[in-house]
Amino acid sequence: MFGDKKLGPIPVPQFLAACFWICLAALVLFGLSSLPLAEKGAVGPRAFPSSLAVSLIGLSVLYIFQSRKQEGVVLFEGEKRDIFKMFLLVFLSLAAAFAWEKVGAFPVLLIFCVAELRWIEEYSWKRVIGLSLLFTAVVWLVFTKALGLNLPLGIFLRFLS
Amino acid sequence: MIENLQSLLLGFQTALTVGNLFLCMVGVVVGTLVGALPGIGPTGAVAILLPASYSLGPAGALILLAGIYYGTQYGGTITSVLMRVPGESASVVTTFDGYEMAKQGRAGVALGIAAIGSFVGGTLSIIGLMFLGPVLANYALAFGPAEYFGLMVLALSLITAFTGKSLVRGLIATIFGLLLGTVGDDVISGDPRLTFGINGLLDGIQFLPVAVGLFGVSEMIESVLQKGGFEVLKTEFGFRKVLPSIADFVKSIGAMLRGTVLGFFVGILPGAGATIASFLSYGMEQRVSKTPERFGKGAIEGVAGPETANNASTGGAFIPMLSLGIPGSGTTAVLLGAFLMFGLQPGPSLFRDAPGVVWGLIASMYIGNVALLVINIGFIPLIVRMMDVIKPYMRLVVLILAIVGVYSFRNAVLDVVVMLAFALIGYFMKRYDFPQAPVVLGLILGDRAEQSLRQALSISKNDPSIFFQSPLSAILLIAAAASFLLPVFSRLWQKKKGATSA
Repeated sequence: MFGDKKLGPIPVPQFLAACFWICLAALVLFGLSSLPLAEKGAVGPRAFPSSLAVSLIGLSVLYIFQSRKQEGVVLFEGEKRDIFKMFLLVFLSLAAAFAWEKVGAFPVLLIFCVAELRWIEEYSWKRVIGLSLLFTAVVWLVFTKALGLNLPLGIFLRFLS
Repeated sequence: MIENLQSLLLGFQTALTVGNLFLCMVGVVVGTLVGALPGIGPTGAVAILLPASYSLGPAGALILLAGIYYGTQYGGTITSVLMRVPGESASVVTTFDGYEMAKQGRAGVALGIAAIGSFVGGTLSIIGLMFLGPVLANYALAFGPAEYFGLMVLALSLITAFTGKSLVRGLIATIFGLLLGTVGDDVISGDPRLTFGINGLLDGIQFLPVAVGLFGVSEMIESVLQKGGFEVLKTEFGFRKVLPSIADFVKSIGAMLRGTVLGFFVGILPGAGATIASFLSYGMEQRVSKTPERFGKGAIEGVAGPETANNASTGGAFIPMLSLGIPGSGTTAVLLGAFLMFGLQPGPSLFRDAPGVVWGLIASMYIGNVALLVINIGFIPLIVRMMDVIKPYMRLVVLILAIVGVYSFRNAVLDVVVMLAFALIGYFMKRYDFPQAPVVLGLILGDRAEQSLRQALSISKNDPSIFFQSPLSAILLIAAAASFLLPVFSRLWQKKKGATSA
């Protein structure tokens, strides 16, 4: 993806990466704008991160300069199906994180295991169900029982608390 | 010297009672297991068990808690080597070559050399603690903000200069890490910075979600695109095949000795600790190696040096705590609390007031290190076999461990989201060939480096020459500059030499 596209002598992926760093530096400079550079004659809270952000912009420009005439970076290598699976895995993990406290750690883990084993690993349903129950039980045993950590029970298991 | 040996004998009398021996074993086993789980670091583990240990009396409680402390330093290696998930910050470096060794079917060798290195570093640093403790503690106090700043710049420059193929990309990664370290309340004025109204960021971006995301979860995401998935992790069986050979040991011995000295001295410095020691050791090993290009591709010295250094630093960290009552790290701060809980005041008089407790603790460290070596070496074949069983489900196991571990760290969903964001950033950094290690070290050192810089400038009334007025600070900064410039000059010189010979 984008690997062979170029902006003049600069490959598009490298240009995009440099833009990301520059935008990040700009965000830092914007986020610090309300803070003082110096306080009572001493260095203020804005000075150190601002100087880092300015250096980041300079280095990003140097990075663009260095990437001239280089091959473009291939961002996703593999079949379309695998790339889709990769994004699905990220989506599932994010969904698990957001549902973690509301739905509860154990129901979320169970659903996450089922989805991962079925759609990413492509195991049979029989194996998926067995393994998902096993992994959830092991997490409950190790983290809750052995280590005494309080994982959120959520709306379904709140009655257990 | 004779007096110290007599005291040590007294200590062994305390430590070798059945009850204390049992507590020492429990401590090291619990520490090893906890160290392998991301989320519950040594500080958390010691803190959780602190109230429960009250009934054990001062000697028993401290032996148990210290056992957990150095057990975690061993345990962090296991998931770093097998899954590229560092259990705690000092194990990050082990992922660089340890995981590569696992891919080559040498997971057992990596774990074995790490256990031997940890034993060497741990044991020699205890000897150092016994004989050099009180003398060195005073020197550590002479480290002012300028010297600390120099030390941190050196650690950052070594890792930037040696972990990537391009200096520009390495510097971008370092600055990114340092910027992450500035998020949250300002270390001096307390003003919130770069939090963009998110309350969860007031305490800053935590190390653990970033490290687990960048190293472990990003690897899992990438593995979906790899044909064969985790079949890349080759497993060998049989005791001889999984243990380091004599040749491996000979190759690593120099790294272990250098790691011991470095780790011990860095451990003494309050606030420096095992993480800086392990990063510095990795940089040093790469610098002294005749084949630095092997690093990051499964070089055994890249595991031996840092693992030795992080364990040697635990012995060093006890020096300011026992001799001066100043904790050098979060964990020693909790241990200091344990001393106070029993009415013991760590400081110069502690060795005189409670010799049985202090020397019992030191003797138990020797016993604990032997126990850890035996346990770790003995269990390597089992660990390797376990890896073979979980290999088909490795992605799921790592993701579950990462999500549960990172959430348990502060009970914050935000940390899990940060981890996933850094997993994506880590994936793209790898594609673009940006080194990931400087990001983590920058994040760890960012606020401390800034604090030292601002304190030093405040002392000197904004005169930057303060960094060159102290010889130690000047040497550290010159060494940092040299680590950047020497490879550049050597490349230019070789180019010139090539052009002349052509």
